[in-house]
Amino acid sequence: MDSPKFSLNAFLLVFILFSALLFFVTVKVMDIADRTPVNSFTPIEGTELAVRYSSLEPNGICSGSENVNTLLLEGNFGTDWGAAAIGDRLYLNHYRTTDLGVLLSDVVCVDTDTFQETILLRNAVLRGRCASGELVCLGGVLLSANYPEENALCRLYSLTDGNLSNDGAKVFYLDPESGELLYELRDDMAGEDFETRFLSRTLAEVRG
Amino acid sequence: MKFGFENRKHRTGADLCVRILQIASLLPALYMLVVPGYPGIVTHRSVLSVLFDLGFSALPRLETLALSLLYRRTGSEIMMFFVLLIAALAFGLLSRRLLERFPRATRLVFAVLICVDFILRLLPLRVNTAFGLPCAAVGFAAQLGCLALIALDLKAATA
Repeated sequence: MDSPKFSLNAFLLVFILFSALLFFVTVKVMDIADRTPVNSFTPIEGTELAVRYSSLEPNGICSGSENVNTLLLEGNFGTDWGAAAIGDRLYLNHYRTTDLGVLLSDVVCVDTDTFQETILLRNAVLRGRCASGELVCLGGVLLSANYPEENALCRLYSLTDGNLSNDGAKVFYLDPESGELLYELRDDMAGEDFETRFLSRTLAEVRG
Repeated sequence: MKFGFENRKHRTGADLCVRILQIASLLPALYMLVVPGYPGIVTHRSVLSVLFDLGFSALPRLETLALSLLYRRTGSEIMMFFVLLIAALAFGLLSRRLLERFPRATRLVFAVLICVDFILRLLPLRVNTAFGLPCAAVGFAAQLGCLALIALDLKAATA
């Protein structure tokens, strides 16, 4: 007589239930353990606005001082690599994250009168302005949040999109007045030596 | 639905096929959880990637691509993980129900699936590069074994 065997379906069911429980416990433990408050207030050059990143209040674009400020547009915005304020237009990066840590970025334009946000380039990072003043963006970028070269999730994410990589795949030049795309260039190693190859040269030189 | 303990004397080729497909469909979880930092599991030779040649090899590869698409759409790793597990469970339960209700048709479908997998596996694609010849040979042998068992089941059922 055969001895009874635990079926694969039953194993999967138990595994699913335990995984759900484990995820719940893990999230709770992290929630309890990660109680270090973060509060960063970065003024945007050339404006009276600032980007707030806080674990106590919603993140976003604020007006006012570090202690007394008003949230004008909610979102994870970043000016660390470059932001440009031209007239009533503010160009900066808007970061998105997945549940566990792949970091994505869009280049957005925020109207500082109405605080309406328009996405100019998806999966791109605004890196600053070149010598002739155009906005220079690195396209096809996947910012692995914690372990740049060792994040299997990043690789899985980009498996079905050949345009995504840690180093970026394209360079875009945008008109600072209108936000229109002026020039784009494909370069698989675009992220390397970006400063000297793109930011310190004029658009004409790059086109040259 | 039968979840619990099994007490079956005779395991058919289709049962074996369902079990192999279920295990193979869980292999992308290795990509997500067990092999952080090693993307080569679907593209290059590695110790763990030989597992892909042991199962029905086209399935985990296609499933990994599907997971990548789902990941890009949802941005949720937790969702991917549960979709993977629930899909394997659903496949097991559905196959079992179908095998009970339509044994001949389901076995034929499995036989066709194995043949399609053979064809896919022989196409000159980059993802089809064998990770290790002995493992590939064992994988092919397992597939052939399943196919033969299913054919025998079908023959016995018609006799």
